Amino acid sequence: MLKRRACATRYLPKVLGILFALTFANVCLLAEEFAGTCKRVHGQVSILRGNQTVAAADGVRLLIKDVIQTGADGSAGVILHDGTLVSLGPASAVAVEDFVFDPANGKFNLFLKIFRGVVAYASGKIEQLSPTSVRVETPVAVIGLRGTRFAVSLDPKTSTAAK
Amino acid sequence: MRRLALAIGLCLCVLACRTKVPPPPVAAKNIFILYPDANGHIGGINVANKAGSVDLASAYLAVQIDRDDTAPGAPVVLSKDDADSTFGAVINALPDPEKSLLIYFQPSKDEIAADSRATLEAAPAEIQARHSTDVSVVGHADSTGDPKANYELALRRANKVASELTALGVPAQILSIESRGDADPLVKTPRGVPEARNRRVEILVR
Repeated sequence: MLKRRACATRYLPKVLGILFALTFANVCLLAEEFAGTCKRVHGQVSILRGNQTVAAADGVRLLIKDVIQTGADGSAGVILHDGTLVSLGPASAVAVEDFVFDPANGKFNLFLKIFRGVVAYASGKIEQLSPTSVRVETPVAVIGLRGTRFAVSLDPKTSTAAK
Repeated sequence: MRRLALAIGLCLCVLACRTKVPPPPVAAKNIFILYPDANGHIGGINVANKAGSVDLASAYLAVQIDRDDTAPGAPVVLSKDDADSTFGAVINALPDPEKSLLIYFQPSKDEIAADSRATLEAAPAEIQARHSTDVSVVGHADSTGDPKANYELALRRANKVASELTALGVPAQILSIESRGDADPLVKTPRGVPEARNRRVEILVR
């Protein structure tokens, strides 16, 4: 018993150090990956994150590379950290492929992929501050933007799988 | 009598069949359409693939593109009603734009101006009403003093507002605290000119 306790004490600083490093790394990672939040979620809506599926709800945070998708009865909105707005109608899917909003260092990037369904977009600060940093892809065309609101509906026949 | 029964039966059958007809698919074509902004301003988009490119720069101008290797068709202006029949629901599903609240400060200090108290105290209700989990608190300074000191001052101002917000019950983990120093004035001034409107913290609720 005494031996075990001594052993625990010896390893405690190391364990704490690793725990601290992991937590710190995690926090940094999250800050880097955060892209926006889900809003106005109705019906069946989920988030594909790597191999996982996360249930979407108002206020749930979206990370870079997340795919938000709606079922046949679903709809959802997204507000990105720069104020860009996106909404999805039924049977739709959109990925936030990349997101960088760092006005202090003049770094901007927004890359959205629309896979299927009916989707609307309203520009945010990235587009205002650096219009060439925004890229929106669909299965049939790439959209370039000049401070605006647009919508797209996609033919299921030419739509692509979300992942 | 038999004929009447037959007629009624036929009507019922037609009605039943009618209700069974599935609704047309939501999106049978690839359509891109420009909408006016919420404030009525009309921007523009360019839609391009390997077969061609088209600019849409007026309200409800739409283009159809069949495949990634077929050129965009000729753009067509839709009536608002026609546009809304396909896109109205998804346009209405766009979230509210981010809300900006401005808190002003005493010169060269992180002391909140007395007339900004009410705005600050109303902020938690705004955050809660939107179920927001993403709030930026961005500090700014006017152009008096040197830029490095102003960066620190603006950061102290942002931290001040953040701690007031947490004291009012806003969860600290939804706040991102930033400083822009004197680099992002609301009102442009020559260097060294005091400007009350630039001594501010902007709370952005998303």
